[in-house]
Amino acid sequence: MEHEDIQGRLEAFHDGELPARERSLVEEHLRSCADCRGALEAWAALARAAFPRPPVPGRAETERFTRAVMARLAPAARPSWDWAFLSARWLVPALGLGAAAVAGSLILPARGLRADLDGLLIAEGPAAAAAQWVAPGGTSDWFETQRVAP
Amino acid sequence: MRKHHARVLGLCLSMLQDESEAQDAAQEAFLKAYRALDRFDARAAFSTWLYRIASNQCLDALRRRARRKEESLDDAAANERAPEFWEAGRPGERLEAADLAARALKTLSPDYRLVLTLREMDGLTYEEIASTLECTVDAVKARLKRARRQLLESLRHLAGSGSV
Repeated sequence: MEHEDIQGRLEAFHDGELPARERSLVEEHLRSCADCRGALEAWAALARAAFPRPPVPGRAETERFTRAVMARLAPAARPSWDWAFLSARWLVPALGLGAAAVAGSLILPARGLRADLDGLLIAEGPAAAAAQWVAPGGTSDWFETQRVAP
Repeated sequence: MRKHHARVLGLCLSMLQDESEAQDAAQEAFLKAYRALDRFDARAAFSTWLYRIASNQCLDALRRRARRKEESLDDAAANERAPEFWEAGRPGERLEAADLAARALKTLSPDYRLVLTLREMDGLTYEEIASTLECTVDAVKARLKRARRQLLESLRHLAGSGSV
């Protein structure tokens, strides 16, 4: 292989990308050619100076980095409202009180109605009792039936 | 993330030469990778895909920096013949100084800087570089050749201008 051919292969030789046969030819040439040897050594020195290997981060640094990335991900990963409030300790008792209040508002007024209905149920059967649920205006809305007459 | 942190941060440090910028770029790379996970199709290795994202992040940072005109080549050097790889060791030329090398590196275009970093700092093969940059092996060889010539040209210019 001619000197110019070897020169054209020096980069690939430096990069370790030559096929085995060509690498052998270049190595043989380098044993006797100071110019090519000098060029390779100069480039290798330049590459070491320009591209030093950066320090490997320690475990603590990697953990800090990971936490920083996860913190930036967290807002986007959350849904539009926070489901966390459902796990609040106060929620179950509050729901219970609310349910009790609703039940109480339904049961207490119904006691008077029930007394009437029980009597009607006993006297005239279910159809007549159900008919009592219809307010004088024709609505079957229970709330309408509770309106106090003027 | 823990598995790839060192390598991604190393690339960003080498490319950007600034600790704070490198940390930002590395974080952005992982964030982009996380958000694009559904588009990872496993044709390349995950590390290659992640490295590609990190490389693009560094390129964007360098291009932003170049637009701010913080570093530029002297126009007078543009007309000189670029030296060849085998001329790197010409007698009388002091090309080994680390600071000179680092300053010359800063004058490279972002694409040339990236391909040289992947090859010289990271030790990637031509195939791996081609996969990361999504180009052919021939394109990698051509880009490396031009990048090395430009680096040598910058070094010669800096050394010749008495900036050692």
